Amino acid sequence: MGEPLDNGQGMADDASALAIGIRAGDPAAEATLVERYRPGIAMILRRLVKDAALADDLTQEVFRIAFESLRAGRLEDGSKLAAYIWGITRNVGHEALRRHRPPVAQASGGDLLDTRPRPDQALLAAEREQRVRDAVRALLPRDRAVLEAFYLEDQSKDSICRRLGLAPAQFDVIKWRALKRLRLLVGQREDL
Amino acid sequence: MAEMIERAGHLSDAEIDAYWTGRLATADEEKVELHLLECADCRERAAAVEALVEGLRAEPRATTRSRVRIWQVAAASFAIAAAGATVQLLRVQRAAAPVVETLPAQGLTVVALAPPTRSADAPEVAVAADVSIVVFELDAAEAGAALGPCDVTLSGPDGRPLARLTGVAPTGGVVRVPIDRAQLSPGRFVFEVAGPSGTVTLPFLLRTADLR
Repeated sequence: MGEPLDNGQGMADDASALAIGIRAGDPAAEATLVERYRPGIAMILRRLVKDAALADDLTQEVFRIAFESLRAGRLEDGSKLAAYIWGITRNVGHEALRRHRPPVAQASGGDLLDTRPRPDQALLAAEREQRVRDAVRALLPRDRAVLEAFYLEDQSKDSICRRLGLAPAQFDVIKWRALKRLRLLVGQREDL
Repeated sequence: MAEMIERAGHLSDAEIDAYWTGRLATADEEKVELHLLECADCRERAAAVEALVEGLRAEPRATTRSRVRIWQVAAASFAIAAAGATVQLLRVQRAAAPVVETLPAQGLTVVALAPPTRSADAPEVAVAADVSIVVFELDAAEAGAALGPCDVTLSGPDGRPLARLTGVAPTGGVVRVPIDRAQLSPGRFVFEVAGPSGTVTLPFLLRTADLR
Protein backbone atom coordinates (compact mmCIF):
# COMPACT_ATOMS: atom_id res chain seq x y z
CA MET A 1 0.00 0.00 0.00
CA GLY A 2 1.34 3.41 -0.86
CA GLU A 3 1.09 6.53 1.20
CA PRO A 4 -1.82 8.90 0.66
CA LEU A 5 -1.13 11.37 -2.12
CA ASP A 6 -1.77 14.28 0.18
CA ASN A 7 0.05 12.92 3.19
CA GLY A 8 3.32 14.72 2.69
CA GLN A 9 5.02 17.47 4.64
CA GLY A 10 2.23 19.91 3.83
CA MET A 11 -0.32 17.69 5.54
CA ALA A 12 1.95 17.28 8.57
CA ASP A 13 2.45 21.05 8.82
CA ASP A 14 -1.27 21.51 8.44
CA ALA A 15 -1.92 19.00 11.21
CA SER A 16 0.59 20.74 13.48
CA ALA A 17 -1.11 24.08 12.81
CA LEU A 18 -4.48 22.50 13.66
CA ALA A 19 -3.18 21.08 16.92
CA ILE A 20 -1.65 24.43 17.86
CA GLY A 21 -4.87 26.24 16.96
CA ILE A 22 -7.00 23.94 19.08
CA ARG A 23 -4.61 24.25 21.99
CA ALA A 24 -4.98 28.04 21.66
CA GLY A 25 -8.78 27.69 21.76
CA ASP A 26 -9.38 28.60 18.13
CA PRO A 27 -12.95 27.49 17.17
CA ALA A 28 -12.08 27.54 13.49
CA ALA A 29 -9.31 25.01 14.09
CA GLU A 30 -11.76 22.76 15.93
CA ALA A 31 -14.27 23.02 13.11
CA THR A 32 -11.57 22.12 10.61
CA LEU A 33 -10.56 19.11 12.68
CA VAL A 34 -14.17 17.88 12.70
CA GLU A 35 -14.60 18.48 8.99
CA ARG A 36 -11.40 16.66 8.16
CA TYR A 37 -11.64 13.63 10.37
CA ARG A 38 -15.32 12.98 11.14
CA PRO A 39 -16.03 10.95 7.96
CA GLY A 40 -13.05 8.65 8.51
CA ILE A 41 -13.69 8.24 12.22
CA ALA A 42 -17.34 7.40 11.56
CA MET A 43 -16.37 4.87 8.89
CA ILE A 44 -13.85 3.12 11.14
CA LEU A 45 -16.41 2.98 13.95
CA ARG A 46 -19.22 1.76 11.69
CA ARG A 47 -17.05 -1.13 10.63
CA LEU A 48 -16.01 -1.87 14.19
CA VAL A 49 -19.37 -1.69 15.99
CA LYS A 50 -21.60 -2.49 12.99
CA ASP A 51 -24.19 0.04 14.06
CA ALA A 52 -24.39 3.37 12.24
CA ALA A 53 -26.27 5.18 15.01
CA LEU A 54 -23.89 3.94 17.67
CA ALA A 55 -20.95 4.89 15.44
CA ASP A 56 -22.30 8.45 15.26
CA ASP A 57 -22.54 8.63 19.06
CA LEU A 58 -19.04 7.23 19.41
CA THR A 59 -17.71 9.71 16.88
CA GLN A 60 -18.88 12.52 19.16
CA GLU A 61 -17.13 10.82 22.03
CA VAL A 62 -13.90 10.67 20.02
CA PHE A 63 -14.04 14.41 19.44
CA ARG A 64 -14.88 15.12 23.07
CA ILE A 65 -11.76 13.23 24.15
CA ALA A 66 -9.62 14.71 21.37
CA PHE A 67 -10.61 18.30 22.11
CA GLU A 68 -10.03 17.90 25.83
CA SER A 69 -6.67 16.36 25.20
CA LEU A 70 -5.55 18.82 22.52
CA ARG A 71 -6.71 21.82 24.53
CA ALA A 72 -4.63 20.51 27.42
CA GLY A 73 -1.63 20.24 25.13
CA ARG A 74 -1.21 16.49 25.60
CA LEU A 75 -0.20 15.95 21.96
CA GLU A 76 3.43 17.03 21.87
CA ASP A 77 4.05 16.41 18.17
CA GLY A 78 1.23 17.97 16.17
CA SER A 79 2.36 16.24 12.98
CA LYS A 80 1.12 12.98 14.54
CA LEU A 81 -2.42 14.31 14.83
CA ALA A 82 -3.96 11.70 12.50
CA ALA A 83 -2.37 8.80 14.37
CA TYR A 84 -3.49 10.39 17.64
CA ILE A 85 -7.09 10.67 16.42
CA TRP A 86 -6.93 7.12 15.11
CA GLY A 87 -5.76 5.82 18.49
CA ILE A 88 -8.63 7.55 20.29
CA THR A 89 -11.07 6.18 17.71
CA ARG A 90 -9.92 2.60 18.19
CA ASN A 91 -9.98 2.92 21.97
CA VAL A 92 -13.49 4.38 22.01
CA GLY A 93 -14.75 1.72 19.60
CA HIS A 94 -13.22 -1.19 21.50
CA GLU A 95 -14.45 0.18 24.81
CA ALA A 96 -17.98 0.36 23.42
CA LEU A 97 -17.71 -3.23 22.20
CA ARG A 98 -16.44 -4.30 25.58
CA ARG A 99 -19.30 -2.61 27.39
CA HIS A 100 -21.88 -3.53 24.72
CA ARG A 101 -23.27 -0.04 25.08
CA PRO A 102 -22.29 3.46 24.03
CA PRO A 103 -20.31 5.60 26.46
CA VAL A 104 -22.21 8.32 28.27
CA ALA A 105 -21.07 11.67 26.95
CA GLN A 106 -19.42 13.65 29.71
CA ALA A 107 -19.64 17.39 30.11
CA SER A 108 -16.19 18.83 29.70
CA GLY A 109 -16.81 22.27 31.12
CA GLY A 110 -16.01 23.87 27.79
CA ASP A 111 -17.95 24.52 24.64
CA LEU A 112 -18.01 21.53 22.36
CA LEU A 113 -18.84 21.48 18.71
CA ASP A 114 -21.95 19.47 17.88
CA THR A 115 -20.42 16.81 15.68
CA ARG A 116 -23.62 14.83 15.24
CA PRO A 117 -25.12 14.39 11.78
CA ARG A 118 -28.00 16.75 11.11
CA PRO A 119 -31.57 15.35 11.04
CA ASP A 120 -31.77 15.84 7.30
CA GLN A 121 -28.61 13.78 6.94
CA ALA A 122 -30.30 10.92 8.82
CA LEU A 123 -33.22 11.09 6.40
CA LEU A 124 -30.87 11.05 3.44
CA ALA A 125 -29.06 8.08 4.95
CA ALA A 126 -32.34 6.14 5.21
CA GLU A 127 -33.15 6.94 1.59
CA ARG A 128 -29.67 5.96 0.53
CA GLU A 129 -29.96 2.67 2.41
CA GLN A 130 -33.17 1.90 0.53
CA ARG A 131 -31.50 2.67 -2.79
CA VAL A 132 -28.61 0.39 -1.88
CA ARG A 133 -31.03 -2.43 -1.11
CA ASP A 134 -32.80 -1.79 -4.42
CA ALA A 135 -29.44 -1.98 -6.17
CA VAL A 136 -28.67 -5.31 -4.52
CA ARG A 137 -32.08 -6.65 -5.51
CA ALA A 138 -31.44 -5.58 -9.09
CA LEU A 139 -28.25 -7.62 -9.34
CA LEU A 140 -28.25 -10.57 -11.72
CA PRO A 141 -28.66 -13.82 -9.76
CA ARG A 142 -25.22 -15.09 -10.72
CA ASP A 143 -23.60 -11.77 -9.89
CA ARG A 144 -25.28 -11.74 -6.52
CA ALA A 145 -24.16 -15.30 -5.82
CA VAL A 146 -20.58 -14.32 -6.60
CA LEU A 147 -20.72 -11.24 -4.38
CA GLU A 148 -22.39 -13.09 -1.50
CA ALA A 149 -19.73 -15.79 -1.67
CA PHE A 150 -16.90 -13.25 -1.69
CA TYR A 151 -18.15 -10.68 0.80
CA LEU A 152 -20.34 -12.77 3.11
CA GLU A 153 -19.01 -16.32 2.84
CA ASP A 154 -15.30 -15.60 3.21
CA GLN A 155 -14.58 -17.51 0.00
CA SER A 156 -11.58 -16.63 -2.10
CA LYS A 157 -11.79 -15.37 -5.65
CA ASP A 158 -10.06 -18.53 -6.89
CA SER A 159 -12.46 -20.78 -5.03
CA ILE A 160 -15.52 -18.91 -6.34
CA CYS A 161 -14.24 -18.97 -9.91
CA ARG A 162 -13.56 -22.72 -9.70
CA ARG A 163 -16.97 -23.47 -8.18
CA LEU A 164 -18.99 -21.31 -10.56
CA GLY A 165 -16.88 -21.88 -13.67
CA LEU A 166 -15.89 -18.23 -14.00
CA ALA A 167 -12.75 -16.76 -15.48
CA PRO A 168 -10.94 -14.43 -13.05
CA ALA A 169 -11.65 -11.52 -15.41
CA GLN A 170 -15.38 -12.29 -15.25
CA PHE A 171 -15.20 -12.17 -11.46
CA ASP A 172 -13.47 -8.77 -11.63
CA VAL A 173 -16.12 -7.40 -13.97
CA ILE A 174 -18.97 -8.59 -11.75
CA LYS A 175 -17.42 -6.95 -8.70
CA TRP A 176 -16.46 -3.78 -10.55
CA ARG A 177 -19.96 -3.40 -12.04
CA ALA A 178 -21.66 -3.71 -8.66
CA LEU A 179 -19.22 -1.40 -6.90
CA LYS A 180 -19.46 1.19 -9.64
CA ARG A 181 -23.22 1.33 -9.20
CA LEU A 182 -22.93 1.57 -5.42
CA ARG A 183 -20.18 4.16 -5.63
CA LEU A 184 -22.56 6.39 -7.53
CA LEU A 185 -25.06 6.00 -4.70
CA VAL A 186 -22.67 6.51 -1.79
CA GLY A 187 -20.77 9.21 -3.65
CA GLN A 188 -23.71 11.49 -2.91
CA ARG A 189 -23.01 11.23 0.81
CA GLU A 190 -22.15 14.47 2.52
CA ASP A 191 -20.13 12.67 5.14
CA LEU A 192 -17.45 11.34 2.84
CA MET B 1 -12.69 -0.15 -16.15
CA ALA B 2 -10.44 2.72 -15.16
CA GLU B 3 -11.42 2.29 -11.53
CA MET B 4 -9.84 -1.17 -11.47
CA ILE B 5 -6.41 0.29 -12.08
CA GLU B 6 -4.46 0.63 -8.86
CA ARG B 7 -3.23 4.16 -8.28
CA ALA B 8 -0.02 4.93 -6.47
CA GLY B 9 -0.58 6.50 -3.11
CA HIS B 10 -4.03 5.02 -2.63
CA LEU B 11 -5.43 1.82 -1.24
CA SER B 12 -5.82 -1.03 -3.70
CA ASP B 13 -9.20 -2.62 -4.33
CA ALA B 14 -7.86 -5.78 -2.69
CA GLU B 15 -6.90 -3.84 0.46
CA ILE B 16 -10.33 -2.25 0.69
CA ASP B 17 -12.04 -5.60 0.17
CA ALA B 18 -9.83 -7.23 2.76
CA TYR B 19 -10.49 -4.41 5.22
CA TRP B 20 -14.25 -4.71 5.02
CA THR B 21 -14.24 -8.48 5.08
CA GLY B 22 -11.87 -8.75 8.03
CA ARG B 23 -9.07 -10.43 6.10
CA LEU B 24 -6.34 -7.96 7.00
CA ALA B 25 -3.62 -8.51 9.56
CA THR B 26 -3.75 -6.07 12.48
CA ALA B 27 -0.76 -4.03 11.29
CA ASP B 28 -2.24 -3.68 7.80
CA GLU B 29 -5.60 -2.73 9.30
CA GLU B 30 -3.90 0.14 11.11
CA LYS B 31 -2.29 1.37 7.89
CA VAL B 32 -5.58 1.18 6.02
CA GLU B 33 -7.47 3.07 8.74
CA LEU B 34 -4.85 5.80 8.94
CA HIS B 35 -5.14 6.19 5.20
CA LEU B 36 -8.94 6.28 5.31
CA LEU B 37 -8.81 9.02 7.93
CA GLU B 38 -6.99 11.29 5.49
CA CYS B 39 -8.08 10.21 2.00
CA ALA B 40 -11.58 11.08 0.83
CA ASP B 41 -11.15 9.24 -2.46
CA CYS B 42 -10.36 5.93 -0.79
CA ARG B 43 -13.15 6.54 1.72
CA GLU B 44 -15.59 6.83 -1.15
CA ARG B 45 -14.35 3.54 -2.61
CA ALA B 46 -14.48 1.91 0.80
CA ALA B 47 -18.00 3.25 1.32
CA ALA B 48 -19.10 1.51 -1.87
CA VAL B 49 -17.81 -1.81 -0.52
CA GLU B 50 -19.42 -1.05 2.84
CA ALA B 51 -22.74 -0.35 1.12
CA LEU B 52 -22.50 -3.53 -0.93
CA VAL B 53 -21.74 -5.67 2.13
CA GLU B 54 -24.54 -4.05 4.14
CA GLY B 55 -26.96 -4.35 1.22
CA LEU B 56 -26.13 -8.03 0.75
CA ARG B 57 -26.56 -8.65 4.47
CA ALA B 58 -29.85 -6.77 4.63
CA GLU B 59 -31.47 -8.65 1.78
CA PRO B 60 -32.61 -12.28 1.87
CA ARG B 61 -29.92 -14.44 0.35
CA ALA B 62 -30.30 -15.09 -3.35
CA THR B 63 -28.34 -18.31 -3.17
CA THR B 64 -29.03 -21.26 -0.93
CA ARG B 65 -27.67 -20.10 2.36
CA SER B 66 -24.50 -21.53 3.75
CA ARG B 67 -25.13 -22.11 7.38
CA VAL B 68 -23.34 -23.97 10.07
CA ARG B 69 -24.97 -25.07 13.22
CA ILE B 70 -23.17 -26.37 16.21
CA TRP B 71 -25.13 -28.41 18.65
CA GLN B 72 -23.94 -29.41 22.03
CA VAL B 73 -26.21 -32.07 23.25
CA ALA B 74 -26.52 -34.45 26.08
CA ALA B 75 -26.49 -38.16 25.62
CA ALA B 76 -30.01 -38.14 26.93
CA SER B 77 -31.26 -35.85 24.20
CA PHE B 78 -29.15 -37.12 21.35
CA ALA B 79 -28.42 -40.61 20.21
CA ILE B 80 -24.76 -40.62 21.10
CA ALA B 81 -23.31 -43.14 23.44
CA ALA B 82 -21.37 -40.70 25.55
CA ALA B 83 -21.67 -40.77 29.28
CA GLY B 84 -21.58 -37.63 31.37
CA ALA B 85 -22.82 -35.17 28.77
CA THR B 86 -25.18 -32.45 29.85
CA VAL B 87 -28.30 -31.01 28.32
CA GLN B 88 -27.10 -27.81 26.78
CA LEU B 89 -27.71 -26.89 23.19
CA LEU B 90 -25.61 -24.40 21.30
CA ARG B 91 -26.50 -23.36 17.80
CA VAL B 92 -24.29 -21.09 15.69
CA GLN B 93 -25.72 -19.50 12.60
CA ARG B 94 -25.15 -16.54 10.36
CA ALA B 95 -26.93 -13.26 10.94
CA ALA B 96 -26.67 -9.57 10.25
CA ALA B 97 -25.05 -8.83 13.59
CA PRO B 98 -23.30 -10.85 16.28
CA VAL B 99 -25.57 -11.70 19.18
CA VAL B 100 -25.84 -14.29 21.90
CA GLU B 101 -29.35 -15.11 22.97
CA THR B 102 -30.24 -17.64 25.61
CA LEU B 103 -33.60 -19.33 25.51
CA PRO B 104 -33.82 -21.05 28.91
CA ALA B 105 -37.13 -22.72 28.19
CA GLN B 106 -35.60 -24.74 25.38
CA GLY B 107 -32.20 -25.02 27.04
CA LEU B 108 -30.83 -23.45 23.89
CA THR B 109 -28.21 -20.81 23.30
CA VAL B 110 -28.28 -19.20 19.88
CA VAL B 111 -25.06 -17.63 18.74
CA ALA B 112 -25.34 -15.60 15.58
CA LEU B 113 -22.15 -14.70 13.75
CA ALA B 114 -22.08 -11.71 11.48
CA PRO B 115 -20.46 -12.75 8.23
CA PRO B 116 -17.67 -12.67 7.48
CA THR B 117 -16.62 -14.57 10.54
CA ARG B 118 -13.71 -12.67 11.96
CA SER B 119 -12.23 -12.97 15.40
CA ALA B 120 -13.67 -9.59 16.31
CA ASP B 121 -17.16 -10.77 15.34
CA ALA B 122 -17.24 -13.91 17.42
CA PRO B 123 -19.31 -13.60 20.56
CA GLU B 124 -17.92 -15.20 23.69
CA VAL B 125 -19.96 -18.25 24.46
CA ALA B 126 -20.21 -19.75 27.92
CA VAL B 127 -20.49 -23.49 27.83
CA ALA B 128 -21.27 -25.65 30.80
CA ALA B 129 -18.19 -27.39 32.09
CA ASP B 130 -19.67 -30.88 31.98
CA VAL B 131 -20.44 -31.04 28.26
CA SER B 132 -18.44 -33.93 26.84
CA ILE B 133 -19.53 -34.18 23.23
CA VAL B 134 -20.01 -31.43 20.68
CA VAL B 135 -22.00 -32.38 17.63
CA PHE B 136 -21.30 -30.13 14.69
CA GLU B 137 -24.34 -30.12 12.49
CA LEU B 138 -23.99 -28.96 8.92
CA ASP B 139 -26.92 -28.52 6.59
CA ALA B 140 -25.27 -29.99 3.53
CA ALA B 141 -28.17 -29.01 1.31
CA GLU B 142 -27.59 -25.38 2.14
CA ALA B 143 -23.91 -25.86 1.47
CA GLY B 144 -24.77 -26.88 -2.07
CA ALA B 145 -23.92 -30.55 -1.68
CA ALA B 146 -27.45 -31.94 -1.91
CA LEU B 147 -27.10 -33.16 -5.45
CA GLY B 148 -25.21 -36.25 -4.47
CA PRO B 149 -22.68 -37.83 -2.14
CA CYS B 150 -20.12 -35.44 -0.75
CA ASP B 151 -16.90 -35.49 1.24
CA VAL B 152 -17.00 -33.45 4.43
CA THR B 153 -13.93 -32.29 6.31
CA LEU B 154 -13.98 -30.40 9.58
CA SER B 155 -10.73 -28.63 10.46
CA GLY B 156 -9.85 -27.01 13.77
CA PRO B 157 -7.93 -23.84 14.66
CA ASP B 158 -4.58 -25.46 13.94
CA GLY B 159 -5.71 -26.30 10.41
CA ARG B 160 -5.61 -30.03 10.96
CA PRO B 161 -8.70 -32.11 10.17
CA LEU B 162 -10.72 -33.14 13.18
CA ALA B 163 -12.96 -35.34 11.10
CA ARG B 164 -13.22 -36.44 7.51
CA LEU B 165 -16.28 -38.17 6.11
CA THR B 166 -16.16 -39.50 2.55
CA GLY B 167 -19.03 -40.39 0.27
CA VAL B 168 -21.61 -39.01 2.65
CA ALA B 169 -25.17 -39.08 1.37
CA PRO B 170 -26.86 -36.58 3.66
CA THR B 171 -30.15 -37.70 5.15
CA GLY B 172 -32.48 -34.76 4.92
CA GLY B 173 -29.53 -32.67 3.87
CA VAL B 174 -27.91 -32.87 7.29
CA VAL B 175 -24.44 -34.09 8.21
CA ARG B 176 -23.56 -34.50 11.88
CA VAL B 177 -20.01 -34.75 13.11
CA PRO B 178 -19.63 -35.57 16.81
CA ILE B 179 -16.35 -34.46 18.34
CA ASP B 180 -15.01 -35.25 21.77
CA ARG B 181 -14.77 -32.01 23.72
CA ALA B 182 -11.21 -32.82 24.76
CA GLN B 183 -10.18 -32.47 21.10
CA LEU B 184 -11.53 -28.94 20.80
CA SER B 185 -9.83 -25.65 21.38
CA PRO B 186 -11.26 -22.19 20.77
CA GLY B 187 -10.66 -20.61 17.39
CA ARG B 188 -11.51 -20.77 13.74
CA PHE B 189 -13.09 -23.92 12.40
CA VAL B 190 -13.72 -24.72 8.78
CA PHE B 191 -16.21 -27.11 7.24
CA GLU B 192 -15.26 -28.10 3.70
CA VAL B 193 -17.88 -29.85 1.64
CA ALA B 194 -16.79 -31.34 -1.67
CA GLY B 195 -19.80 -32.42 -3.73
CA PRO B 196 -20.85 -32.81 -7.34
CA SER B 197 -21.36 -29.07 -7.67
CA GLY B 198 -17.90 -28.22 -6.39
CA THR B 199 -16.26 -27.45 -3.06
CA VAL B 200 -17.81 -25.16 -0.50
CA THR B 201 -15.79 -23.79 2.41
CA LEU B 202 -17.68 -22.72 5.50
CA PRO B 203 -15.58 -21.00 8.17
CA PHE B 204 -16.89 -20.18 11.63
CA LEU B 205 -15.55 -19.32 15.03
CA LEU B 206 -15.83 -21.07 18.34
CA ARG B 207 -14.69 -18.93 21.21
CA THR B 208 -15.78 -20.86 24.18
CA ALA B 209 -14.39 -19.74 27.46
CA ASP B 210 -13.87 -23.07 29.10
CA LEU B 211 -12.63 -25.02 26.11
CA ARG B 212 -9.00 -25.81 26.67
